[in-house]
Amino acid sequence: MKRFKILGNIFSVLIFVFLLAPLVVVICTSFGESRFVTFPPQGFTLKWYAEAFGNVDFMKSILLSLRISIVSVILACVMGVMVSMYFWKKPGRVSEVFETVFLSPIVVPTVISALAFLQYFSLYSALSGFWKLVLAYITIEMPYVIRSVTASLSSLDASFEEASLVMGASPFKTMYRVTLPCIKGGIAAGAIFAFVVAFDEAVIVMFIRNARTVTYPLRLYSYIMESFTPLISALASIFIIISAILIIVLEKKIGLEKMY
Amino acid sequence: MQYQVELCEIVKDYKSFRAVDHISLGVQKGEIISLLGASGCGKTTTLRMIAGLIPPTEGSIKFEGIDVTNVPPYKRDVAMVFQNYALFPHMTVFENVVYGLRNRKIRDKAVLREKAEEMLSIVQLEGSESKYPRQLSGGQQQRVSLARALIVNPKIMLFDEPLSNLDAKLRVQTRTEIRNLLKQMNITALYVTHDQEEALSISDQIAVMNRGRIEQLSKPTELYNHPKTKFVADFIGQANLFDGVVEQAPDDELCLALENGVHLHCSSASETAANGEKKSVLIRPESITVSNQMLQTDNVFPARIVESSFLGSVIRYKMMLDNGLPIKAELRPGNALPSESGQVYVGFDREYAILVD
Ligand SMILES: Nc1ncnc2c1ncn2[C@@H]1O[C@H](COP(=O)(O)OP(=O)(O)O)[C@@H](O)[C@H]1O
Ligand SMILES: [Mg+2]
Repeated sequence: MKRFKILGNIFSVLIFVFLLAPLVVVICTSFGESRFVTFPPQGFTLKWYAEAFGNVDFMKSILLSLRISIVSVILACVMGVMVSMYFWKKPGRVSEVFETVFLSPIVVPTVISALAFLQYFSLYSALSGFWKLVLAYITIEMPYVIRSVTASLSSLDASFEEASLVMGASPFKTMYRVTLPCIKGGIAAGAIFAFVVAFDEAVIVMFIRNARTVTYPLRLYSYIMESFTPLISALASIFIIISAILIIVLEKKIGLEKMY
Repeated sequence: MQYQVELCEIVKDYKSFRAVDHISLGVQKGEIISLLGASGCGKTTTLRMIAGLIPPTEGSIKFEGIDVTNVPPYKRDVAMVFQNYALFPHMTVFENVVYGLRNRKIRDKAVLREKAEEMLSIVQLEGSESKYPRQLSGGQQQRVSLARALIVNPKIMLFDEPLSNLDAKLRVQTRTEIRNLLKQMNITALYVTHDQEEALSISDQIAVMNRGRIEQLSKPTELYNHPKTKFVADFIGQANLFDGVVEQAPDDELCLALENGVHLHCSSASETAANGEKKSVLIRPESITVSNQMLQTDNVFPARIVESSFLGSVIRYKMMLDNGLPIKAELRPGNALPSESGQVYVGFDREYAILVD
């Protein structure tokens, strides 16, 4: 019995090493002094970070990515919450079908979605590149919001809403004073997940980008194509750290196990 | 006399299932009426229709004589205490308590504070304003939800089994407190429960419900002493019930002929018992005398004791009459008790043998 436990522990350590080692390598190489990425890195310097933050292209891209992500997350949350609430209030066959439709972007391969967006948006040339990306990202973010909000709603006691109505609050007041505060954890979890999804999305943006929509992942990619210096590692490390912080916040505040 | 709240022939259908079946009921200002019945008999459904949370299929609801059947819950000026309390988990006790006042457009901070303090002191929770519901015990949460409902001085207070999540001792204590509070504030209340003791002790009148209908609406003592139907007699307290046919005895007194030929001298609250009518007779176990000597009561039967159990304040006997009927009696331990091995006599006067439908 004990032997199995030890084996199990070794196995899980191996999995963690397998998953995390590449990230550790990337972070380590970002401190190397040499102009080329080497591992193990030689010397220790922060100059690549200084260069990264001083890089106008990079800063523009990160701001663009943040703007696209934040705008799309807000819209995806508003719509996702509305959709989830509708399913919650009106359960039944029809709702189930619609729920499947709304959740489907999760299972469609991103390349396929990207192709679809490309064809679709070619019909609407009036849209700016920014809004095309926002619309595309809303679609792929919604499933995460809906899943997490639906989970919160299903554990919400219907008597809270009834108590509020009986105590004299209109349905609208009940929604924003009782229902929404009660599910804010689920909304936050969905929003953070959606944010991460949008922020590091690289496939769709490749299909429908233009010169003004070079997002952060794209910028990283184009730098790698030019030269592979530790600057890339520094840029990637910043990326890793932002994602890690978000995931840790999520875990601490809500608990990841609630997500699926 | 106008009713504070009146239900007129209320019906509620769920698909083909009739949950509430033509209920009519009037509650007077300041009165406490209980809806008492087994689980699933339609109590909660009735309450929710009065609150306006679900619409009745048929019938109408009036508050102070005005039809409110189509008025949404938030405009009805009612208040409700839920079984699970339904305190808002993200609000402090203070915010929970003043929720109804805020919805009634009272914005003045000082007024809200003062009212909340007053209400919380009435339910003995002074100083808990800034706590969250999860930091309180079940009994305290219960009292917060009571305060939240009382503070708006509603047209009617609705209670849906508010004590069923409390332990037995707290339940007994809280129900007296609730009654005193309601009486003190002259608040009209409809109280749903499946616990007959709770209903008997808290209400001015009790409506016993069975399969979506009101079987009987009476004062607690009346309900216990003069139930109208077999169902009510059986539901409230302990009962010996026998079926039979009404006969007029030679001395012109009422009599019930049981199936095995035994005749019981009995009385009827309503004067409608006609010869040949099928009725039942109710004899409460505590109105029966058991003795080793012959008795002088209107009804006397020889019997044997099958089983006795000591229940603290009473001893319960299960007996078999020599004519084959089982009967149970309750005696106080202080009185002279019959010896259990030999022949005993079971006796009761006609006023304790009550005819029911
Ligand atoms: N939304 C509903 N849909 C279908 N049947 C219901 C619904 N609500 C209640 N019922 C049925 O109506 C009956 C009465 O329910 P309820 O009023 O909750 O009973 P009680 O409160 O007396 O225990 C029950 O048999 C229940 O199954
Ligand atoms: Mg109920």
